[in-house]
Amino acid sequence: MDLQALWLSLRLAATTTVVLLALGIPLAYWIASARTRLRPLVEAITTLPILLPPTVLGFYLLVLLGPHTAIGRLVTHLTGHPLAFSFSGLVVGSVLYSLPFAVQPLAAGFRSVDTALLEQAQLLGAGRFRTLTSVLLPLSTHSVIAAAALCFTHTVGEFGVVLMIGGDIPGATRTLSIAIYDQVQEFSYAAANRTSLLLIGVAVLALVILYARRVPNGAPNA
Amino acid sequence: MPDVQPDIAIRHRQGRFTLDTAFSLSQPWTVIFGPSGAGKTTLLRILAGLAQPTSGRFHLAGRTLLDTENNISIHAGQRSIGFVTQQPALFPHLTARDNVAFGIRHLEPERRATRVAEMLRLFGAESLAAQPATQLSGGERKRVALARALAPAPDLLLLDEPLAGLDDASAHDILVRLLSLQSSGQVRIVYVSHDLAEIWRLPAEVLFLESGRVTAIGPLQQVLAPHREHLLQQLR
Amino acid sequence: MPAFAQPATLRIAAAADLQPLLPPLLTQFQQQTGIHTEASYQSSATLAAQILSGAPYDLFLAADLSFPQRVIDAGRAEESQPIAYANGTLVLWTRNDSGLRVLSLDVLRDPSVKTIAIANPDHAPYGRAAQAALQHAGVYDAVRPKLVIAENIAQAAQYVDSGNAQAGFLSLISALTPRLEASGHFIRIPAEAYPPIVQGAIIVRNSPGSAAAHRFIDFLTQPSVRQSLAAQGLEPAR
Repeated sequence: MDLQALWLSLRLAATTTVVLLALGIPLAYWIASARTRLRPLVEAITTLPILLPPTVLGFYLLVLLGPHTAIGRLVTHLTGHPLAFSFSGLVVGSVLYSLPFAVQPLAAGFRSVDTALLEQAQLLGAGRFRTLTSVLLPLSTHSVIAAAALCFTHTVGEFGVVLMIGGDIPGATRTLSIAIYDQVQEFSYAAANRTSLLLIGVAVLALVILYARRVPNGAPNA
Repeated sequence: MPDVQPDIAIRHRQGRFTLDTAFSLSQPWTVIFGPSGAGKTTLLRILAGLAQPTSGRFHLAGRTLLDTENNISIHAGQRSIGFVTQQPALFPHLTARDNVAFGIRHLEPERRATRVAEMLRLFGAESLAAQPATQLSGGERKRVALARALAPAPDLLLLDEPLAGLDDASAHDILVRLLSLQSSGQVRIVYVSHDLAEIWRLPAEVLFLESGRVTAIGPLQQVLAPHREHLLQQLR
Repeated sequence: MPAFAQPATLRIAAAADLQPLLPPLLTQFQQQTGIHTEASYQSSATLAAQILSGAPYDLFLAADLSFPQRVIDAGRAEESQPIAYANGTLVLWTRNDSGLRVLSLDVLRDPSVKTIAIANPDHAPYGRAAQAALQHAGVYDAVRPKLVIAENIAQAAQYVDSGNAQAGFLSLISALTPRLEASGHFIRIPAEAYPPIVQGAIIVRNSPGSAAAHRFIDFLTQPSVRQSLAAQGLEPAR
């Protein structure tokens, strides 16, 4: 049972991280370079999940993605089942829950790249996409790695959101953190301890692997 | 007398003073001379399209790049202008060769490689081609930055104090190479400096810029002669 | 030992299923006795663990007998047996707009019922009862893939009230709350289908509010209070 929950937690964390990088990089790029009045608002909204208690976030997702809202009905129509109680539902919840942990390090990394380099890229004919891929990303790989590490571990440890919208389904939504909680509720402390050690061990291993790949940041010209 | 409109007319309010200039690039070389803080770099940034002026007009090679009255402002990447800043700003994660190639991605690989080699040779940097930009010295970076800016064959090259901080030998060498450019190329050069000795022998029209305003304009040695006298007097 | 003059406070650890009906009762108790009360509503399992770790509760009103028994076994209760204070009733509930006109344990097998909410049978008394009822009706295996497990009975209500589950096993107490009464309908699960949900209480040994706790237990057995509880879904203990 533990291995199934472990595999599920890892899958969830990996999927969420990939989705968050795909969404977070363009979003962080916009935040780091936009000069409209909209920017502080967007930045504040992406930080919001940090403030919301995870169970509250989960509750709103339960209601918003349920059959009573247009969005929920659309999702059911597209996927054949409501978002709650499914792995994809957990991914949606986790993406929202860890959004700030992707966007913030990415935006900070992009902002730290010398503007003069971005201007030269512009002058030499690079559009926004090429500037992102040929200049910004290569010069902020450490931020991308930091964002990935944060999202991964944050999702592995995620509990409140999963509790609210998961339904504790083995193999689909019964993550390692839920398994530990169930064991505690059943007073099976020995089992809970074992599972917790497993969770911590896996998370540390993942982080070590990720951090071992850190590329030294290219120093901007003096 | 027919009233000919200058190619460039820029008005820009910023902080202490207003930048207010109007001139044409009638000569291959135009030097903008003036004390620090006179607005020279701001003017270059506006011409390059990196900053928007309060109002202005800019025509280059038959195109209108800027016309605030008619809401025209061509994007920086499309102005066909090269800009070598005071600090060269080479891409640190690329080699010298890849830096130079950055602006000519649209050329097919063979033509691109030829052009890169040609540009590096032009500025005496061919031996640096495979070196990462971070390992180049100050003088070497300037050479590569020049090669990079010229590779796309821009209509205009903006140079912001290009020889500042270089040792005499490097400065002289780069200057000679720049001058040789002019005899062959079509590119116009706007050269900004506050160092009289550096620019004295340039075959240029000079704009004397003080506190944002052009106070004198004309053949370089003619316009700056009294200034030079003043400097030499101070040294005696 | 000199003590500051303080109104007596009774701290209650209350099972989640009591949340709809305890607060007005506490107000009534306070008016009657002048004793100030504070209640915390969580799953019985959580509360038991907290009490065992020294959480400062005076009275534990659980949703079954096993959790108070744990506290007794650890020597932390005044009693040697849990005080049975009420009986819970299991219901099957669905929203009025769920499309389920007729409710029964058997209809849960229908393909149109995709998800059924149940509190965790491993540690929630109503969940255990629901599982027993399904087994008793012989539909457990058929229905099992559709079960989604909520942490506690309150969350099970959330699952089904939000429409994410088509039907759910709830407590009679929550089914009778104004909100759920207005938005859905239910059937009582026959008592013989599941072991009785006997809700037990203990008073925490050596707690400061011990005297107040005794008074509250007495209060719960007052006829008017028992009537009121019964009307809201909590039968008096037999």
